[in-house]
Amino acid sequence: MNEVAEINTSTNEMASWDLPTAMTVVHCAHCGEAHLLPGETVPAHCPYCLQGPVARQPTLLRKEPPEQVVPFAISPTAMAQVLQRWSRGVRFRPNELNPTLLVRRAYRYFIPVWLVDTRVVGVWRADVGFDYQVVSYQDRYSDVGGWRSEEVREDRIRWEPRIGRIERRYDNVAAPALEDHWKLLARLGEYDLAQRESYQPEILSGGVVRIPTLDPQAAWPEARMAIDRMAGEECRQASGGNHIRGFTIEAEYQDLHWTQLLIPAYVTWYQEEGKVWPVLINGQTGQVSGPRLASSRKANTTALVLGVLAVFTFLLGGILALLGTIFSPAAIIGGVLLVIGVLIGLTAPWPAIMAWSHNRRISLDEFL
Amino acid sequence: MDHMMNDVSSVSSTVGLWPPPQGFAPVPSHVAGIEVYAPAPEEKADDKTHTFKCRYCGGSIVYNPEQRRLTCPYCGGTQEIAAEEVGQRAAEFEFTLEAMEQARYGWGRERKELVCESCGAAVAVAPDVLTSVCAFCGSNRVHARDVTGDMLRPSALIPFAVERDRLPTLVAEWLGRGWMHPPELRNVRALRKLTGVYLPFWTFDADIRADWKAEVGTERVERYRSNGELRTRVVIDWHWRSGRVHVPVDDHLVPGTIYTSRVILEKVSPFDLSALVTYDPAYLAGWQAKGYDIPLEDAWRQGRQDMRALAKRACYADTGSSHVRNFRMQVDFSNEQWRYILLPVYIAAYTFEDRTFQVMVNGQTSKVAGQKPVAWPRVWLAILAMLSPGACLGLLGLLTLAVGGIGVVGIASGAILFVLGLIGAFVVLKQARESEAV
Repeated sequence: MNEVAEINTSTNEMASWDLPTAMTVVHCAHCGEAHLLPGETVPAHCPYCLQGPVARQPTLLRKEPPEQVVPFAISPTAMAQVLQRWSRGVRFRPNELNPTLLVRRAYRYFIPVWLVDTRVVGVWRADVGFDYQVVSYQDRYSDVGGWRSEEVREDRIRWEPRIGRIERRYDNVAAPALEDHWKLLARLGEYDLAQRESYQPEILSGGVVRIPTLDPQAAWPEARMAIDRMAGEECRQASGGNHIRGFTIEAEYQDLHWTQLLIPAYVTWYQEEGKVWPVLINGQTGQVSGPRLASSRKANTTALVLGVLAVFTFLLGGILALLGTIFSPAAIIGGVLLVIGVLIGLTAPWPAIMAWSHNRRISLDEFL
Repeated sequence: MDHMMNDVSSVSSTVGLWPPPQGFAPVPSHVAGIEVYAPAPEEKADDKTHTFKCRYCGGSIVYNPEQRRLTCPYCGGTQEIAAEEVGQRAAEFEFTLEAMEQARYGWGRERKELVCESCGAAVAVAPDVLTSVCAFCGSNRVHARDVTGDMLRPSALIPFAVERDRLPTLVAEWLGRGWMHPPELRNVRALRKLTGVYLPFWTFDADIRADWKAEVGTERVERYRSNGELRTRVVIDWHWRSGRVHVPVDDHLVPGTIYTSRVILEKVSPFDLSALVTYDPAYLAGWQAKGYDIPLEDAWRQGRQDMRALAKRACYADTGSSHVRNFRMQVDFSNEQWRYILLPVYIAAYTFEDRTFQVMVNGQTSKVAGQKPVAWPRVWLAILAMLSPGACLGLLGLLTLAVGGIGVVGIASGAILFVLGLIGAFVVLKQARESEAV
């Protein structure tokens, strides 16, 4: 295992990270996550959930810097476009749910992933599938044309058992470093980890780094599964097969070495109904995940305007109806206005109800 | 990624997966650092020539149908054959591109020179001959070629169950049967060129799904008025109908050689394939055996033709009517499988009145079939006898026509009898012609 150090609130011990600016480790009382923030000051809210207060807190962190980083592929302009598409179609859209503002507020957010190096020494067994073709026929008969035969080729797989020994080295196998890794990835979509580059300290400038919640011991079962998957794929290649199933390996994993990979995201937020709503964006693909609230204030105002209009129409109709006793055509217009007034009155609450029912389906917890 | 290329033989010898189960052997690996073991291919015992000699006296031993084992004609010593009776479970193969390609070249073109293990003599044999007797020391040998790969060796065979000694009696009995042959046939005893030979056959399995569409007619009796008279007639109403039939075909046999009469082969069929045993060269010791000369592709074409004719009949039956027109169908073959087997047949010839006739005996069921000379005067006499009652009655009717109604009855019954006689004559003539056919 690599050296783990207790990192105090200041980052003096992280000399090898070669940080461009001073960074602070804070812990959120609301979501429980720890982050590495730029600067020396402690912000008012957690940079991830934007809800809870944060406090400086020592945390266990590796001294060595991340080994690799998946670079950002989404520029602020591209982010504005994806946010535009994402927020389109929200009725009574809050003023703050606006791409320009969201882009202005966005900051870079790095999600940690473990990279494991190891040497696998052991034995394996699997069924290896080989593709082959068989020749079949489809014949047609008609009283006029007689028989016509057509050759059809069918693809099939022949499964054969294989067993063997393996001694292979696997470097930088990715494994989750966060308890909510898969939940985060479900929100952000897949990352193409093949695009990773070596870590450069400048990339962290102004960004927030999430601190792992799974230590190597806790991350090992998933890391091992990932290593075994790679070994399985190589055993398939070694056997010359096209498919593999039922891969079992009994091995020793020697020379384990753990480093980190940072994958890119953006965090931004908007305020609505007195709450802060975080929005997460995949920094590589631009996939957006966040609550899209309707503005209750806008909806209520619309409902109120409609209500006033209904009352006004109704009253006008009533007056005209009364006038009808003197001038009969006024009674007809009055009657029509009365009906219109009632109809508008009936539909007036609709915007408020719609916004309420839309918003009640959205829970902040779902996005944290 | 740097790979460690150490010797992996010292690794993990204690874990449960290791060592590989019996019958596994190393195969080439495409990735350094990974060893691959696969089930070892069955030893190609058939590649070489087997020479069968008695372990007691050293004489040539042969397969004995009566005892179902190898016996020595000199000292009486016997040897068991360790083949399994597999019946219709005998290994079958799919129509892979590889198999079709291999089978196209059959047993190769060249003659192979074999060296006798007993006396060292070199003998040339034709490529489709599976057994031979050394001309110098007389030892029995069985050889199968390597040129065509595993699949194109016979996968199973039915051993001879009928002894050679029974043949003259069986054939004589068969020759004596039937009235349309010369009575002197009963006395033919001498069989020439009597050979017990394993003949090559292909068996085919397939699931056939056939969709048909046709105009199907239903009969309806219609009343109509003609010249003020109420009459009835049958009219056919046509409707478009469609349907689907499933015809599973199991072990359809197609001969693998052109050198024997297909007509006679069909007559000695069927063979009971439940008696199939896994191929063992010991069954061929002392017998002749022939490799196929009709390649898989051609035999399968024939097999498919037979099967689709079967499917067509099934579709016609599915229409449920004898009135069908504008019939069309589509036949889908699936789960097609084949195997190459050897079946036992005795081939012989006999001479009668200076002509040679072929005869074949099913080596499993003892069914006899073949060419039989026909006593044509007998046949013509029979035909005459069949036609004459009708003709005579008709003539009698004509003569008595002057008398009135009775004559008409005579002519009508004469006509019916004559037609029946014609049908009978046709059947007899067909039988007689087939009896001499090859």
